[in-house]
Amino acid sequence: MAWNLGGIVISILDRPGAMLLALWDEADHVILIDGVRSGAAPGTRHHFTVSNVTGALLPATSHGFGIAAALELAQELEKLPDRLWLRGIEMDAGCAGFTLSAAVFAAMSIFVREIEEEILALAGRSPQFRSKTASESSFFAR
Amino acid sequence: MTEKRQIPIQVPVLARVEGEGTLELHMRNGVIEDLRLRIFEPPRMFEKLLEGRDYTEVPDMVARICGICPVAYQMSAVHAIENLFGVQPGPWVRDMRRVFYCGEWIQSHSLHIHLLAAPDFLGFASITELARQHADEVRRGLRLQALGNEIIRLLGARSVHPVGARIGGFHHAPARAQVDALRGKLQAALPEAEALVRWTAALNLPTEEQEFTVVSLRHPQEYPMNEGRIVSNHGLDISADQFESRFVEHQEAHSTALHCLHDGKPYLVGPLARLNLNLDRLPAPVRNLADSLGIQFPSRNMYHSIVARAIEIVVAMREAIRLLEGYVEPSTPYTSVTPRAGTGYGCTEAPRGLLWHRYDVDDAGIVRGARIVPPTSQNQARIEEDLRLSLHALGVRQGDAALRRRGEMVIRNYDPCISCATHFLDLRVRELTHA
Repeated sequence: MAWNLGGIVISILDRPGAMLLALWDEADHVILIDGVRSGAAPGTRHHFTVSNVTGALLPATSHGFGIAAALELAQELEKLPDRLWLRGIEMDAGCAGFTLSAAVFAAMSIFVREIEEEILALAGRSPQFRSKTASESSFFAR
Repeated sequence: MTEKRQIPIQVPVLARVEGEGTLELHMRNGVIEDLRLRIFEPPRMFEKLLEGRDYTEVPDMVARICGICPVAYQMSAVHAIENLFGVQPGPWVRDMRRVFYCGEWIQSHSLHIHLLAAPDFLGFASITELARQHADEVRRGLRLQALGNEIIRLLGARSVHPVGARIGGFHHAPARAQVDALRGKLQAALPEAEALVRWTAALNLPTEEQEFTVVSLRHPQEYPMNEGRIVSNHGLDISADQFESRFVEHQEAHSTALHCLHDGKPYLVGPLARLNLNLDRLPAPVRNLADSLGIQFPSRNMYHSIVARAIEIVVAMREAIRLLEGYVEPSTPYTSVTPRAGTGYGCTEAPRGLLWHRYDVDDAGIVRGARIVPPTSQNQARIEEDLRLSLHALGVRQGDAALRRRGEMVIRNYDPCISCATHFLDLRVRELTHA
């Protein structure tokens, strides 16, 4: 699922695997957002760099080909975006399915607000995006 | 004296056959006495989930069975239900369904060739290692896979679990401009797909040959995808509604995955089976390409499956280009249907082989019974047979690592939905050196 907001594309992806490289192929700046399980407290907000998440043992499977594997492959193929920000929120291991635990729900608002501000700051630097992102900003706040 | 060796391998998660696979070898004096591929697949009860549902819900529900081949599940389902309702959706729907299927073949085959199979034949552990030395080839593979996904999105709105298909046709017809743009991309990428065929044929593939039965659809004129009779290299020629008289699934105590046998024996479905049985249905340029490879098709070398997959990518790209030429938006992208009670049968060619569906529907259009026989179930017994022959040919005195490596290669070569699990085989070798 994707929305094109005049230069900013928001995509919701279902285990894209190696296709992440194709999806960001023409993007100047990518913010990749995902749930994280690192052992931190549920709701913890993470900022990663590419080197933080690569280097893991990669399963050579289609279903197990996650973000770390895609980033490693992109490095090998020189297909990383010029600017890539990795943002994550610590999930609650005790809460499966689509429901958010109380801790993650409580952190979600500020997590979304931070990303919205990052996008608006980026858009503010580019006059062609400024007017559209201002009018669309409520999308991110919902 | 009994010697037992164990090699534990990490286990991931996969759809349809989530969990771990275990290859068990029982040897006596260096001879394989028993071999079992255990699949610990939690039953997903999809057939049961469909009971009580309206027929209109079926295409979207079955698309959820597989993230890699959802189109195949949708196509077998719509054909089965239309077969029951007596619906003829017309040439536009027929053509676009074939295009839809082309997209799935292109993306699924590209994924398997590059992510799963090629590293085996070039001595790498993963696509990332492969990319280090074969970057251009991996980039080409990703471009082709992305093109396949784009075709699926054109008609299905999204490439994973698409939602565009319905009984009677499609919910939405793509715009002419969108179709023309995609057709141009396919045309431009065709030489890359042809180069991929030559690349796979030049791989240093094992040369071992085996005797096996091949089963696929066969159409009077076309390379088979959505339509055709079920045929084999041993004279089988039946319609989809006769499938259950010659193919029987059964439960093996060692696996939760069902085994399907044809007249009581293992058989092969998938790209090599299709190609072996439908060489004369290849478009002429593709046949010329296949003939130029130095490989004798029909082939009894299972490792030629990777070449067959690449050839089918070219088939699919040429078909999509042909069918999208002169595209005209229809007045309506579907035919209205009226449900009626009875049983409908559908059989299409998923990327990894024959996919058979049967639905029992009442006169209100409610599903009362469903049965789905996926290609992995059909190939399961053949995989075990291949493992037995291949490991014996390799030499069971080989170390565990070599046996495991070859076992995984054999299994992956079938592109089963258990591909993912097979990287995580827990190989158990039990060797008896005295009677």
